[in-house]
Amino acid sequence: MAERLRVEGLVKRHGRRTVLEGLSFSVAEGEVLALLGASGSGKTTALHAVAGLDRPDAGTIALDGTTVFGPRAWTPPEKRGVGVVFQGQMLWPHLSVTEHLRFVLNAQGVSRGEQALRISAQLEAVQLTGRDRSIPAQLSGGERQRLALARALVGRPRLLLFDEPCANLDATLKSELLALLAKLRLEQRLTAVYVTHDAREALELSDRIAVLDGGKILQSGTPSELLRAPAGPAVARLLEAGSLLSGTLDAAGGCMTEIGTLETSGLEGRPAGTRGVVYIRPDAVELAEDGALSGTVTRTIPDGAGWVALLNAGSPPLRLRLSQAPETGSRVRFRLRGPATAWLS
Amino acid sequence: MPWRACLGLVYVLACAALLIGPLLAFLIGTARGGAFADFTAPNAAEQERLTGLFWVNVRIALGATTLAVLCGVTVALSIHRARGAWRKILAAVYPLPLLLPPTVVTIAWTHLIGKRGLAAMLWRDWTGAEQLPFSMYGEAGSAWVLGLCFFPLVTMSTLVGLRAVGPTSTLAARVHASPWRRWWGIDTPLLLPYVSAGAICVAWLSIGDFEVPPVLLLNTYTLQIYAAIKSFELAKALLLCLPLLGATALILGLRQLLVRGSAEATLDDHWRAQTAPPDPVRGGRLLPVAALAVLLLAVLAPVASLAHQSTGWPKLRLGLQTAGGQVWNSFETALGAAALALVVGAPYAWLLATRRGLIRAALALLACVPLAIPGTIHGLAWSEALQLTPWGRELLTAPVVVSLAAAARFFPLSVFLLAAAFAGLHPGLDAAARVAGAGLVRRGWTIHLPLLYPGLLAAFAIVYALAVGELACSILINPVGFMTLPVRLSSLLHFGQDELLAALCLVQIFMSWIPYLAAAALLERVLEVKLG
Repeated sequence: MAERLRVEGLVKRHGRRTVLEGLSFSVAEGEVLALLGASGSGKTTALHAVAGLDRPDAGTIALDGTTVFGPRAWTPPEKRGVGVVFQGQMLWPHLSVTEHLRFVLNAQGVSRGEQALRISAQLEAVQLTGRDRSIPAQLSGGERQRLALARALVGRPRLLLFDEPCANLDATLKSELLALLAKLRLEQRLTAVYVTHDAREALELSDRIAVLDGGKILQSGTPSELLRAPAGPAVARLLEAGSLLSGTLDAAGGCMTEIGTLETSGLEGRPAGTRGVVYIRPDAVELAEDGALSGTVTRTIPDGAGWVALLNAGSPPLRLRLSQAPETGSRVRFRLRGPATAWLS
Repeated sequence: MPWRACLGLVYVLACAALLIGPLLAFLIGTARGGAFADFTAPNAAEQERLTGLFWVNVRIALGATTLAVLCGVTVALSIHRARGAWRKILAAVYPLPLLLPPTVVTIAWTHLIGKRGLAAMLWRDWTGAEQLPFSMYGEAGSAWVLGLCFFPLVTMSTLVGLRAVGPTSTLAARVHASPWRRWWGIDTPLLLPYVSAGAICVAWLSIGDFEVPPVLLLNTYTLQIYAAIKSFELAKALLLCLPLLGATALILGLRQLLVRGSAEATLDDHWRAQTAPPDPVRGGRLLPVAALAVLLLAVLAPVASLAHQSTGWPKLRLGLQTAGGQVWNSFETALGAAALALVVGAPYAWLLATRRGLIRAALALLACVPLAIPGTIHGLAWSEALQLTPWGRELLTAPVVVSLAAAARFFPLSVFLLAAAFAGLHPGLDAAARVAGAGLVRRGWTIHLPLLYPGLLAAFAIVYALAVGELACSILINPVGFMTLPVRLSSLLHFGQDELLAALCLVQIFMSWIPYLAAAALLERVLEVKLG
């Protein structure tokens, strides 16, 4: 697959603070890359740099092989051919739905006839048909977000940039928008960079995830790669999929934790007494009467097919899938399928 | 240096030439003429007298600003809360005091509550006492008139703030605090940047005013400047301006200190506020009554007084017949001044809104110099500076010079209003347009201009309103054979033709009010259309 975007060695400083520290990543044609990171990790700055809304201090950005930012290259945002869905939507309060889309098409010099066709198709795609004369103040939260999406899509950009589009949306609107994005992704084969702090969105939408912290990529890979083997506690914490436990290596090579001694990989050869952080994948835990590990159930959550018991260990708490609801406060025994990943704390 | 920075620098220098160029030329010319060499410093007693008079001006400005803030905020809150016809009436009436030269308003007030005024007559008939229990002559009267003349500036800026801040910010506070606590803890800090913007304009205009106090038999510092000019002591006149410039800088610094850390509202909030329901609790029934009282005092009282003085329609007709040309002259010069201040001021305001720190402070200080110095000095500086070159002498014979000087004088008002509008424009809206592929012109025309429209119109209206009644500067630079209505009013004032003067004042009110109403109606229409 051809490479659509390549970012190399991007550096951005705000005064003494380094926001991006040699950031590098690439996006292939038809691929969705999620930039996952906590607040202040530099993901929005990276997105703005790609869009041309922020000028980095060093590095290069190339779109379709053409350098749009580099030592002697600068392409203004209006000439980059990217679409952006902003965090605060940034809809123009005085323009109607149609006028929003027409503005983009006019800027691209699309003919009137073609404009009408594309606007109507786009409004249908984002389920805004019939709302074409409304201004943003007359739209609901979900409609406003869909308008922001339509505005970014109507110009048929070569790269779409999403800046936390689900932030400030309620759970229903978020699910609707994610479903719509997934549908559009399939239909239009979008190439996109999706910035988020929500692991669920990243796992659901992207082909690859790059985890950002302190302006650097900690790990990059497919969602399953990251879930299976996160590169460190910071990545595991951001993925919110498994649990992290503190432990100490014993003389036999096991790791003593509050739920028992675990078999781990990653700290081999370290002396006994070494303190570490153990990552337990959610699918690695199974209920077993004769299991060596045990914990107290603090809460039970129905999930349709059965129950999830939260134990009094780990951060976030260790989850155990059960077919019957255990009693809160009861002690359960379990074991791990294979060794858990451990890192030095 | 990048070409954009070069362009910006050239533009700022051109603005500086317009704003302080004539003043500097006047200063240099005076110095070259040896006026400064001949100047002898005042003795201790004279210095003490001048200091005392300076404090008189400061007290007047303080009183006028306080009154203007009280009245301005009351009327603004009332307009913001009101709906339908009542809102339209309030919005149409409140700018009227701004449209008249303060001298005329002073005359109107003396006719009402002066020594031989209507109120004094009624009081005498009622109580038998020769004088009213209060006197409008002196500092209090000057502050009263100036405060009532300039309060619309505070109303305008507060209205911009109320629209920008919107009710969403106060919603959270509503569940926790009483209306007054909310008002003090949430609304006031949010509105402070806007209210103080109007207040500093009132302070600047009041501290440099020399028209009102003499009518109220009060000697002031600014009158000393005028006296120095009349006796050709130009060096003294210029040096006496220095403390006024210092006071201006101090007021500006004080405002910066006051508004530091205040939240900046976004235009998104502004548009939401337009459609959001008004806060039903704040102000209760007291607010409309207070607003009505302010408008009765500031608008109805002087207008009624003028109408009473003009002795009816025959004088009004005579006024119209004899002053038709001057009415038109005032109209076109004010229109020119407003347009010029807008065109030149918009990029300056953008710079002011987007720069920080020392550059911003320097830009703000430069912008307010013309407003800080008395209008007479401003007019004299323009006149003297233009005498220096052949093209300047040519320009002095053209009416455009009146527009030019008025635009430069009221430049700060237009710039500060526009800067507030620019600051309220969320940068993300422009960013969204940029990534959509729009160039500078398309973004300016389709996104910026419609969103800045209210601010642009307000800036235009405010300069128009002040320029149409401007006297201090235009009286010195009116080309031969060309006269604006305020100049005519001034000459009538000196010749004591009170009836014709009052009639012409009414003409002036209506000729300046009608375009203002038209502009306001246009704004209302635009907002209605844009908001559905």
